[in-house]
Amino acid sequence: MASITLEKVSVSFPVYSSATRSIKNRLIQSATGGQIRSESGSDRISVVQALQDINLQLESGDRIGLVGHNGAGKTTLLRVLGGIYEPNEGRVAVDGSTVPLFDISLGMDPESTGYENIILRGLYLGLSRSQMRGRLDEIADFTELGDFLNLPIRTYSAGMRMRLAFAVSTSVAPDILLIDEGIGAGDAAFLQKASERLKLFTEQVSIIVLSSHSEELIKRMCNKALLMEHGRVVGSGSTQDVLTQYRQRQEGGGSVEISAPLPLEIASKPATPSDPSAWAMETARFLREGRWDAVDVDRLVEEVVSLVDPDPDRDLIEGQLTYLLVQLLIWHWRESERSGLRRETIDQVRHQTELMIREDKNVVDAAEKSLESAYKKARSTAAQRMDIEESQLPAKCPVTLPLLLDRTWFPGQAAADDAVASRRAADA
Amino acid sequence: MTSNTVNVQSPLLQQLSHGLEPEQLKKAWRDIFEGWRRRELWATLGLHDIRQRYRRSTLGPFWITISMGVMVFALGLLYGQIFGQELHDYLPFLAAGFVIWGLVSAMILGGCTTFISAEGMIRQLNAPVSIYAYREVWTAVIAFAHNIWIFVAVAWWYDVDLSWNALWILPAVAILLINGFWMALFFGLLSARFRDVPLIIGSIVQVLFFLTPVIWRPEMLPDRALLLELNPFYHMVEILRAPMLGHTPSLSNWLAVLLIAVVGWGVTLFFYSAYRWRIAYWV
Repeated sequence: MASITLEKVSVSFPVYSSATRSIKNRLIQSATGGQIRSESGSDRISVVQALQDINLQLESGDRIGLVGHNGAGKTTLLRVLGGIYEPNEGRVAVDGSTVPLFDISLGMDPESTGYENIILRGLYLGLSRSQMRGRLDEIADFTELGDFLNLPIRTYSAGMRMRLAFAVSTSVAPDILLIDEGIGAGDAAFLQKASERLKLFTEQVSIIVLSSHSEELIKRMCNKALLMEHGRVVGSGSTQDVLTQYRQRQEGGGSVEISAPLPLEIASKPATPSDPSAWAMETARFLREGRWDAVDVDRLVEEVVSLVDPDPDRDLIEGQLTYLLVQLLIWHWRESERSGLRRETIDQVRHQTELMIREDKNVVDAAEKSLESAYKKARSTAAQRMDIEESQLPAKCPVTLPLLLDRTWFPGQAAADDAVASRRAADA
Repeated sequence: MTSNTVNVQSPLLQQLSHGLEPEQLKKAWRDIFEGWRRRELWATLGLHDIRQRYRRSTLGPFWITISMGVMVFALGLLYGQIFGQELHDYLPFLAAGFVIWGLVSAMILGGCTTFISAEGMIRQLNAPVSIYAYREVWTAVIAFAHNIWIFVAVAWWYDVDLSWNALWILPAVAILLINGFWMALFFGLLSARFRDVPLIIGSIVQVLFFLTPVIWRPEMLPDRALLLELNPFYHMVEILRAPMLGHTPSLSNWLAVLLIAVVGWGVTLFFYSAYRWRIAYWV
């Protein structure tokens, strides 16, 4: 469960000119201190108060839009949330893995190939090299860059670099995602594909904080918003309200009065049933008040049962199986796609899955149980990826778990097809 | 509440008092520790730094080796003549000295740009900032690994007797790296705030090259031992050069280098705890 708490956070910025950065001037200043002070006042270094007295409480499910004009402190706030700036006053508590997505082309090495850069960006995001290798194929598929991935990216066009950066940045979902401005991406067809992926990606993130000047983007992505002005939060609430408030203030011109920061009333929004934490708090309140009629008993029972039968690995193993099945389906149905790289990926995923299974008997059961649902997902993904109808692929999973994890087996080879046939016969 | 009145008066005092809070030391340790755990990242970045420097040249990083080789042979022949030294003694001595000097000076000079050159990444990436110090040290180590072959070739040609003293090479390299790491953190921090520091350090290192027995032998300076003993670079070069040439390293050299490490780390930890959190604002 991710959360962010800011209490009375203030950030001030020294503005250094070359004069204050040079030791000579510092030495002269201390030697002739009084004089210079009398000339330029007591603050020899000008300090900009970038954030003042910010109080925030963000919970899972929050999608916060930061609104305000340039210099209002939006980017500074994002950097504080990302742990890049440590405030000089106040307390910041961030629970959950955080990825700041400010400049998605950050740190690309022009001399390295596309594949190397995919791995490099993964390292930036805090993943290990081997974790990245497991994802390489999926990311490479998404970029549609094909053989270009073997060339140094200095040969790429700006659009191609963007695709690459975007594909990697959205391959791992963190708990908390911080986005500065909109993420633009190349051509229209890619943009369509990108927005789907962005949607899938953002659905997995528990908290998103997005700073943008685009009202449309904020409306589409966020359910709450903060209005910032001169380093303070001057308004908060639903997206619509805050955007209206922002527009009014803009029309009011420069003479906007800065009111005291309003307390952020996020909990006052009616709880949506899909938000688990809000639902839990609400149910707890009903129970305490003895209002059984208001409690969603079925869901409560389900939640309580899930407490004694935790299946934490199930999602993980299912994701792993799904990925493996997608790769194998493509392998089977597209002979042109049988590259050495794909073979390596399949091998790698099999190996990882085997390791997971070997460690724990429960995982084997989980894997057996989730095989069908994994196949269902894989079937639709693979059909989409290969641009064919789902009905062209077998409706039920055609392989057993041991065969799926057999590292010598690749579908479409004679021996393998025999194995499937004999299994079908046995089933019949 | 008393600190509040101070805060209003001076933002600089306010920063310092925030930096001196006890938890900052813990955070500094965690930063260094977490930085080590991200070694796949900084190792890759360091490798890219070297590759970037020699990109698209046919020989690539082996230019490091070649330029070192040319330097050692040219200066070896010249100064061997000037000082009247036997080449089979002097050339291995010079090659070892140059290679070690290369490592130490690269760690200091590179250390000055630790945070300045990573400006973009520091402001965008929520990684521990110590990774940039590891990266500079690692870059210096890669260059060292290219240079060392000049010494190996010279030592092999002149048949330098290695003996068991060669075992001292590893701990010597280790202690040099430990020292290099605090230098990268400390000078990096200082340079990020005061942009003159890299230039000052640059000229100091240049002068120290001539004051340190790399080209000349310590024995050539009989009466000015103080000039040697007070030069930290002398000790750092000597603890590694002695075992490379098959001699036993002297206790005083080792003690001096250990002292530099302890004092250096003490000072660095203090400043790093107090000002690490300001780096993102400075760059």
